[in-house]
Amino acid sequence: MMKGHNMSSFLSRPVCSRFCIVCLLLFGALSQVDSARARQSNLGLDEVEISSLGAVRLSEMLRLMPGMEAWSNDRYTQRLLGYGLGGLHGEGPSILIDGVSYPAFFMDRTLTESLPVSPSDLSSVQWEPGRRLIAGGRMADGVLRLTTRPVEGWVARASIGLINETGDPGPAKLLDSTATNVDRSGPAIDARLAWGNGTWTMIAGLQTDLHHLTDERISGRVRRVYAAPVQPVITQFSPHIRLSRRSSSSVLDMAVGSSRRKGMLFYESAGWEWPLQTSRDWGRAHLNHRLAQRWQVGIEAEGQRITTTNRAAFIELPSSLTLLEVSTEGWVRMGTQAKSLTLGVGYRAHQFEQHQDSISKNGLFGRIEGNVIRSSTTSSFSVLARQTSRVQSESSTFDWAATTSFSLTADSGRKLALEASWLSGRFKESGAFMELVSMGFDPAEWISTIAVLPPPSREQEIGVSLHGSLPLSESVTAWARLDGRWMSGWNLIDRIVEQPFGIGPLLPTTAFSTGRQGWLFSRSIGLDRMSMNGPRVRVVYQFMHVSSMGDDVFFRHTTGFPRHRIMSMISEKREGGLSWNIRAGLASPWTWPEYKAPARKDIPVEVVLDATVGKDLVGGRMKTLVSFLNLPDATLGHHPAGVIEQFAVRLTLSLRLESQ
Amino acid sequence: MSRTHSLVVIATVACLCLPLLVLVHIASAQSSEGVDEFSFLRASVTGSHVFRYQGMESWSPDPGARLSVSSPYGIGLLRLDGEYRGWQPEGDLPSVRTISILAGWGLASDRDGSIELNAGLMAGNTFMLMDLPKGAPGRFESEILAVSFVRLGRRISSSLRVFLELRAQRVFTRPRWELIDSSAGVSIDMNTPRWIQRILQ
Repeated sequence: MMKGHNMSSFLSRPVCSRFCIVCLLLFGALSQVDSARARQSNLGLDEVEISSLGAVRLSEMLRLMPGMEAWSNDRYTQRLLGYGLGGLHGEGPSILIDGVSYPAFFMDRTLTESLPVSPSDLSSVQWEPGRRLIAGGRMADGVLRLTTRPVEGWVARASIGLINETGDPGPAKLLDSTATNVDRSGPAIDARLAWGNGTWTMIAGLQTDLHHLTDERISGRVRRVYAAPVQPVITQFSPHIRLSRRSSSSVLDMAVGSSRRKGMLFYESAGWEWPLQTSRDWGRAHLNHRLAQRWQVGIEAEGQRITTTNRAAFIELPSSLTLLEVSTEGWVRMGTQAKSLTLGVGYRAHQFEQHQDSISKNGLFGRIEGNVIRSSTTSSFSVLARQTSRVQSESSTFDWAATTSFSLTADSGRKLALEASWLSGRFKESGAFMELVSMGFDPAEWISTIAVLPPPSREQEIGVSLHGSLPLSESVTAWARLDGRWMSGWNLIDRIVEQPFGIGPLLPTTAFSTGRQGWLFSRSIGLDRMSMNGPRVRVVYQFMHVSSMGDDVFFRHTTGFPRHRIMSMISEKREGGLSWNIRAGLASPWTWPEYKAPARKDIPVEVVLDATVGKDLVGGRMKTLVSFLNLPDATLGHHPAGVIEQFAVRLTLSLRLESQ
Repeated sequence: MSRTHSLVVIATVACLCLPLLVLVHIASAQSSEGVDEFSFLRASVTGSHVFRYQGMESWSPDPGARLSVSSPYGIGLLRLDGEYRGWQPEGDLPSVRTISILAGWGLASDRDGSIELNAGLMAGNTFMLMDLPKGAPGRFESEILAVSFVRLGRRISSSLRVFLELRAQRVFTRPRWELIDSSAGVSIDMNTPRWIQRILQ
C-alpha cells in the first residue's frame, strides 16, 4: 500500500507531471510509421475469417474473435481481454469504421447493433489494445478498426441469422409444469441498398433483431417484475444512412442513424434489468482536405441522444433519462507522410435530463499528434488536454492524457514496438456517473442503496506495452505482447449482489468508492498463419494478473474472467465456395467477484468448440452457413445471473445482387 | 455417467472409428470406381427397434419406421432420413409421437462392392406431438437431434441390398434424451433423374 501512496503523491506533483509530459513528447518526437502501422496488433480477422464465421450481428462476430471475452449478465456486452476492464469500470474502446471513430463506451449490443456496419460489410477487423486519444476529445481503451468492402455499382444484399439454442423440455414439460423453453435468438436481419463508383459511396442499411427471453435463470426475475408468467421478447430496430466521398485530396464520411431496443433489458449503469426501451439517435461526420503538399485540414463532428423510457411492469421503475452529447473538432496537419504534426481544438457538451430537470457540462479541448516515419523506425505521440465546466456546480476540472509509441521493423519482417500512456483527470464512465450524482442527478430510483457520496478523486494512470512479432516463414508469424498498467485514484461504483437468483429483480447493493489503486498485467503470445492459400490459423494465449495491494474494491473490479485463456481459430474458403471455420479453446476456472453467497458461483474450466460450414450457391449470389456452437454441450453460465448457454445451432442465409 | 450415456458415447466413437480402420480400403476402392457425384439414389424403408434409452423413462418406445435416401458425394454418401415413432406412457400421461427429419454424410467403403460399410453423422430436428386436446399449451414441441450411425450392407442383386444398422441418437431436450436403436431392411439403387442430379450438384 505504501508503495502505491508514494507513487500517487509523486504523480500529483504538477512539476513532475509536466516534466513527464515533456519527456513523453521528446521520446515520441525523437523516435518514429504512421501510428496505425506502429501499433498494429495480431488480434483480428480477415475477410475469409469473417465470412466463414457466419455471424450476422457485429456483437456476435466480436464475441467469436480470438482475444475477445464475453462479459456482463446479458451475454452480449463484451470486453477486450488485455486489461480486463469494461462496462462502467473503464472508459471503453473506440470503434473506427474506415478510419472514422464511433464511441463505444461499453461494447454492449445496443451500441454495436446500431453501428452502420455488420459482418457482411467488412473486409477486415483489427483489435489494437492500449490507450488511444481519438477525435472528439476522447480517450479510448483500445481501438477496434473495422474496414468495409468497397461498393461498385448498385448492390442490394441481406443476411438473416437464426440461433436455435437447445434445451427445450420436450415431453418432460408434462412431468414438470415449471419447465420453460430456452431462449430463442433471431431472426437477426441486416439489409443494405448501396451504390458506389470508386469515389462516392451511398449506403442505406437496416438491422433488426429479436430475442425471446425465456431462460429459466431469468424467468424467475421476469415473473416478479411483471407479476405474471411473461416471456419477454427483446426487439431492436436500427436504420442508418451513410454517405462518403474519397479522393486523393479529400475524404468526406457522414452517417446518421437511429436505434430502438426494447424488452427486459439489463441496464449497465444501474446494474439490474427491467422492462425498458432505449433509443439512440446519432450522427457522425468527418471531413479532411489536403490544401497543399504539406497542409491538411479536417473537421470532426458527432452527436447522439440516448433516451431510456419504461414499459409497463408490476414493480416501481426508475424515471426516464435522456443523455445528449455533441462534440466538434477542427484540426490542421502539417508535414508529409513521413513526418507530420497535427493540432486540433474542439468543444464538447453533455446534457442529462431527468424529472424535467437538466444537468449539463461542457468544455474545450486541444490535441497534438505527431508522427515520424523512417525506413525502419516509426514513432508517434499524442497529447490531449481538456477543460470541463459543470454548469450546476459551477466547478471545472482540467484533464490531460498522453500516449507515445516507437517501433523498429527489420527487413526480415521482425518488429518490436514500445508504447507508453499517461493520463490524469476524470476519464472513466464510473467517475462521470459519480460526477452526475454530485451535480444533482438522483440515482436513488436506479440503484438500491446509496452510501454517502464522496467527491470523485483525480484518476492517474501509467501504462507501458511491449509488442514484438517474428515471421517464421512467408505465412507464419509468432508474436508476443506484454502490458502493464498502474492506476491510482480510481472512482468505482461498487456493487455487491447478495440475493439468490431467480426469486425477484436483480438488485445489487451499491456504494461509491474513490481513490482505488492497483496494478494490471497482461501477457499474450500468439501464432498466426495467414496464407492466401490453405487455412488461416490463429492461436492466442492470454494471461491476466491483477495486483491490488490489498485493495479489495480494485480487485473485484478488475477480475471476473479466466486468468488463463487459450483460443484458436482455423478458417478456410475453398474453391467452389465451400467455407469452414473451427474455434477451439480453453479457459481456466474463475469467479464473478461482485456476487456473494448464495449467488456466488465458481465457473469451472470452459472448453470452447464451435464449427461452421458454409457454401456459396447460385453463382455466389446466395450463401448458406450452418454453425454448431458449444459442441461439447457444456452448460455454460458466463455470468452468475445470466442465461445458461447450451449446444446451439445457427443458420445463416445471405443474398447478394449486384449491377456494375 | 449412466449406462445409456456411456453406450451412446461408445457407439458414436465406434461409428466414427470403424470407417477409419477401413479408410485405406475405401481410398483404393474409390479411386478405381470413379463414381460420379449423385449418380444414383439408394432408398430404403425399414423398421427400427430401440433397445436402450434414457431421458424419457416415463414413456416406452414402439417400433419405428424409417425412410432413408442416400446418394454418393465425395468418398461417402449424403443421406436424408425421416423417421416416425410412437411412445406409450406410464400412468395418466399422454402418449407422444415423434417425427425426425435428418440430413448427414457418412464414409462408405466399396459402394459398388458386395459388402459395404457406411458410417457417419447426421443432424436434424425431432418434432414431438403430445396427445393433448387441440390448442393445449405444450402440445407440440421440437428440438435438434444428432445421430451417429454405422450400416453394414450386402448386395443381393444388381440393385438390391440387405443391411443391418446401429444408431446412437441424442435429442437435445433438457434433460437430454438419448437412445440406441437397431434396424434391418432392404435398399434399392436407382439412377438419379437428371433434373435431381442437376439440383444436387
